[in-house]
Amino acid sequence: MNQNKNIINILLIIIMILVVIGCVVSYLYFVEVEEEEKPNIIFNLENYPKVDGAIATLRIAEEFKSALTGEKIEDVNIVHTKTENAYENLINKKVDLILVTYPTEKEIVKAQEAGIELEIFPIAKDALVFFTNKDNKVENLTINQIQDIYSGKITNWQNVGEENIPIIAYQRPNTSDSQKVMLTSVMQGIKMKAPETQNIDIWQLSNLITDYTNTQGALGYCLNYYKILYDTEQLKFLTVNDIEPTYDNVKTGLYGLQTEYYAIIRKEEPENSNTRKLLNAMLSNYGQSIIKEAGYVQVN
Amino acid sequence: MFKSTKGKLIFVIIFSIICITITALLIMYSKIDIEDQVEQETILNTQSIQTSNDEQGLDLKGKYNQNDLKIVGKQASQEKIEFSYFQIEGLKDKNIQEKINKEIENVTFNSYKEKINIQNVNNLSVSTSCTANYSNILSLNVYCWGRSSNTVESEIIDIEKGINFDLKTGNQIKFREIFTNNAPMYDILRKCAYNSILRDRAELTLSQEMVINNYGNIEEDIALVMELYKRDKINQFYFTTSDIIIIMDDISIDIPMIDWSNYIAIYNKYLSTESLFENDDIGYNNLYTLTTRQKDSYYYYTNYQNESNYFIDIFFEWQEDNASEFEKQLVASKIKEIEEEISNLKVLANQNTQNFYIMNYKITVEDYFDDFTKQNLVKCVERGNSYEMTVHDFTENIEPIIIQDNRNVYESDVEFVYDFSSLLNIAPQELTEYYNPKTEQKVVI
Repeated sequence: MNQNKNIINILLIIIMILVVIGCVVSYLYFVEVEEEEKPNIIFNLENYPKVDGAIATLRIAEEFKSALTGEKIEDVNIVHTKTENAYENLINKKVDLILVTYPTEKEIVKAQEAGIELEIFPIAKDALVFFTNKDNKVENLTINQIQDIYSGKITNWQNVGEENIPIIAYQRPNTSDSQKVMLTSVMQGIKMKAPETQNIDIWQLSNLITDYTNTQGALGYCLNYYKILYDTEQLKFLTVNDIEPTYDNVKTGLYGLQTEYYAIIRKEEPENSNTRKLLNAMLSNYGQSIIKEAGYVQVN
Repeated sequence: MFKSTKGKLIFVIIFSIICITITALLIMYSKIDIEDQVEQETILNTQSIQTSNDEQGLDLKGKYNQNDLKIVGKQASQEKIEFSYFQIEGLKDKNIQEKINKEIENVTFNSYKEKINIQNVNNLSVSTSCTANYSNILSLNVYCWGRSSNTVESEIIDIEKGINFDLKTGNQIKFREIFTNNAPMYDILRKCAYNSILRDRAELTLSQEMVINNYGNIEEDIALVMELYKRDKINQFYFTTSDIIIIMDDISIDIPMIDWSNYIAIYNKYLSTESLFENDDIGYNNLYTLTTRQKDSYYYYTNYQNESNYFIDIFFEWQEDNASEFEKQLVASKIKEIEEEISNLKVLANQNTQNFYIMNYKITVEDYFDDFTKQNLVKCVERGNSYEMTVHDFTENIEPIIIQDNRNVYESDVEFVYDFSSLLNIAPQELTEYYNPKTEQKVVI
């Protein structure tokens, strides 16, 4: 009898311990306390590696420089010369690390011609989001509907269960970041119809791809970062296949229309160089928490 | 403590519930904390965007006054560099005048230093010019051009800067201040950046079929403008009476005021009840918004008056240098005639306040050689007319034509000789007269 009581007592104590451990683990998981992993300030403004990149990654670069030098974000003075120039600067050894989208064929060839081997590491995710005027009643589009709209099969919001309003489906030039994701992740080989166009009168130029104009029938898309271009209060962001492009859905891959930003260095960088130290910091858990703080989605 | 197993079980369940509740509350609390931070940041961001106190946009039918400020041209040179700039005179507050003049010198003489090392320069010219001088504001553009010698092939130097002053305080005007509170800044900047970049791409990559072959990463180019705006770092800009120009490293972004007139605060925001100037007769008064004209040396004589029931616009084109005595007398008498006619018109306008009077002429006096008679003559061409109508007709029908012509002056060949024939059935008249300078008599050709 006593033996049974002891077993029950031990079991109850084990249950209590498990509950406490479960609670601590849950807390750490949900609030992502990273204090212990926080590295010391490993740079100052003088020895911080030269960083360049896309405008889309400017905030990431600023956050890192601020966190790793201990300086205020207003004082770190990061200049990104845009994607194309950043690649040039890395290849020409004017900078040490760049934060950019994946290199194009042209950029890879340029690096090869210069005898530079690149090391490429994904550091942040971004999602392609679809939006329309805030007064449009549509909430969701399926991938198939988006494909049909942008290939010209669907031309009215009525065809996706909404009001009888013609769809003005704005596109972006092929060389833009958003269009690259649109073509690969959404259209998947389906030919897009001709884009909406505008004229520039004084040049007598016509058929220029037009910028998004927020009329009620408008449909547009961009990478999440490029929401910076819009007054988002006037827009409604749509779910795709009933999945919202939230942080968690992008991180887990549930929202599949996404791309990545990369940290790229020259392979020749010595093992203990400041550039590699910065790269390692970016790839660490702490680095990923900075990515999140900067408003981007962590890579897994 | 617990005698029965049941009691122990209840304790464990209560303990577990308490643990889970505390954990849940802690998680919720930290999430709320993060959301609060984000919200606060958003509020701060919104507040910093709305710094303008002036809600009044630009009246497209409105008028404005040029500043009664004297712009004095200056030249200077240093080794390899030629500077051309200006100083202002005529502000009542001499401290503000001095402060602005020092800033103008400062921006002129240091304009190139951030971007180039003078050791690597073959030659450099720096020109600072006034682009806007009205409604108690002054805007100027500094342009540096030349060639550098730091590479095998010399590179073209091309640097531009802008600086803008509030003449009431002498302080520099910030970009956000020139728009009204309710300005849709994202739309203004995105649309204008997009169009400016398109024009730039067209210039660089236009094919024979008039198609742009490479838009570049236009999204990223616009994002840079937006990032600068969000960080309140659009520091390099200038404006004219019709456009605001943001200077970026590789492109200028043009914001046409006419497209965003409801949100442009420039014309009204810096006005004062008391004049800031020592004189009151230097700048033109009552010019139409988005138009400009300069009291420069091109025209020998001009007379522009735009009042409640009369409008006078006279241009006299004549080169005084090497002119004969007769020509001088002829011009003087023509101007006297014009001024007498203006006086008469003003008397009429005063007597008939319901009527509107227009006097509009362009007069050209020049030397003329007559092939037939082989004589040197003086040719005088007078184009224009005088009109009378009701104030209502003027406001509703005629004034829009005058405004439009003034706004188009740089895009077409408008010479301020207005043609109202589609409405009034009276076209501008053209009268050409020839004079023999020796006999001082009119000659018929």
